[in-house]
Amino acid sequence: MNRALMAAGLSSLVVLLLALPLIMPLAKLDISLGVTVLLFGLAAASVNLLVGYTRIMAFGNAAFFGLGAYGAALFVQYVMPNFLLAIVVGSIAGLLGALVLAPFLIRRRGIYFALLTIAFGQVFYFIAYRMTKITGGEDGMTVTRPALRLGSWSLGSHETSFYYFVLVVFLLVMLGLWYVIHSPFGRTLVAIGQNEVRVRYLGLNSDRFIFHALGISGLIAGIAGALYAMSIEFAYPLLLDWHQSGDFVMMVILGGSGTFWGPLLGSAIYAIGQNVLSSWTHAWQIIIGGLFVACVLLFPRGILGLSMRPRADIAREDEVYEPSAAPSAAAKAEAP
Amino acid sequence: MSTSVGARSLERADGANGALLEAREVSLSFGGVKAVDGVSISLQPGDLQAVIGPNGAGKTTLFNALTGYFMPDSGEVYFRGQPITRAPNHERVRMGISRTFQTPSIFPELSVAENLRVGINSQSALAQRFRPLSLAQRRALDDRIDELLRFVNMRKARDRVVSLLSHGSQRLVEIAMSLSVSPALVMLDEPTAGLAEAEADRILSVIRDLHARLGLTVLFVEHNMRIVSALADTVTCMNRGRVCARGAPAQVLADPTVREAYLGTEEIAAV
Repeated sequence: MNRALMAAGLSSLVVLLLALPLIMPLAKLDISLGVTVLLFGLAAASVNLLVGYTRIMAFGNAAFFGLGAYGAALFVQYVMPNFLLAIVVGSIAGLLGALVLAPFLIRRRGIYFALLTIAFGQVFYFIAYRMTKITGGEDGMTVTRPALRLGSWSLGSHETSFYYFVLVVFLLVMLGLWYVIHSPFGRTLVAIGQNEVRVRYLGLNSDRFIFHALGISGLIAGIAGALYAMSIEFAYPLLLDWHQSGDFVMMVILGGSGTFWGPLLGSAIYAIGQNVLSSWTHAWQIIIGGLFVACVLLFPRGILGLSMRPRADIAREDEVYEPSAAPSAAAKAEAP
Repeated sequence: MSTSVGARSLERADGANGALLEAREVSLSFGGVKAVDGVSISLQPGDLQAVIGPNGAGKTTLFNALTGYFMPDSGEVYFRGQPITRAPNHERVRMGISRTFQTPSIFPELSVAENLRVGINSQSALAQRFRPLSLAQRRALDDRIDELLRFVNMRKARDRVVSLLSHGSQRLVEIAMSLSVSPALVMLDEPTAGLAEAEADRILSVIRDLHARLGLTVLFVEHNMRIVSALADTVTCMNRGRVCARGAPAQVLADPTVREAYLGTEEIAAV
């Protein structure tokens, strides 16, 4: 994709996101749905770093998302009703969760990695479920979102203001992620996804790269979770559950695994599908599920992945070698 | 053609005393099968040695044991006098051992330049950098990519996706990748397998340059005796996991044990 097209696409996306509070009421949709799309998009982007770029089967990112949600909610409930600090604490909870689990995960691959991520996620789920006195157990915990104040400026309690705050955070995190993915570190993650053995035979310890990728992924999921808890003013165990992890993976596959904006598209399809289709039919999950199956079968790299298909023709010899280096006559002559 | 591709390697090799790589009585079994059985091999700096033998002789398993793909059950491996028997594969590469595989081990969906970039970055702290490179760093990287591609004569293919290159070109990309880590010892596993004669000659020429122009030590597994005779100064023949002959190419290829290993006793009698 050329730069001009990318710039045009990106500008259109930013304009669309900025105009969303004006557009959504026209479709009789609440702006809180826009907040959900952005935050699930962030959580899905955290999964995409692992599943899409590094191609490791990370099926437990809801653990980091839920830790972010509970971190923020518990901070507001028991420590201090400070919005920004709650987001910071929630983000750190997601990061720490990933860093604690990473040593157990980095030497596993394939199905073992997948099962461990799910199992560890469920550990956090049951902790939240069982610690009723602190977390509210199955009923979850309701919190009141503190007002965001920066000096004399206040965000206010209006949902549109909150949407724009989330949008700013979303764009900043995505900018950071773009830098990471296009850095040498990120290119090495992509290389690990394609051929980990070769990465090791280029002198790089792939385990260390996966450790860092898990940390970044946990941090992003934590930020998304913390903001989500503040958005719905509620934290509940299902945010940590493996079903939630599955939803994030589904968003990645739908939108485009290994594409930068695929997770946001997947999140939009999923969230809008959930909200709009569920008002038409109880069987909305069948429709989303059917779309997911079609995606896996027809375009496994997702909707945005369609634009990334390489040309299928093999390079001709004259497109590869300089004419002067036609099969080494000297080498041939010296051979017996 | 610039010869700075392996300049660091040449310096390393010159600075070494004694054997560059030495394996003593290395054995490796899979279940009840002894794939490598008490094999010893020694490479001096600047050697160009070949390992031959029929299919299943244990050549690739020996390569895997020497490069840390598998850990040997017994025996010792030394590189520049340092024991590396249990060293992880990526550490061996950082010490100066690089390798290729029977099937080209590349990053298929990346371009030729991107394939080389990963290896070049691994040589500095850049691989761990979380921000894109500066303009100056990108230029230096591009120069190094150009240098490596010039060495294998593939500058025109710089932006091609590797999976869309011919098998022979993929092998050359893999050799360039193995050079990107500035090795002292390059180990090539059947570098001409599955290639037409013209493509095999291209590889032959590159291996000769690795040794003659860059001063690298080369150990390669090969079935093509024309290539072996043209390149190797010492040939080791393996059969059933053991070394059955070692010496100059002409001497080894004329050895009755080697002929028997390849052809079997009945075929030899028929000849």
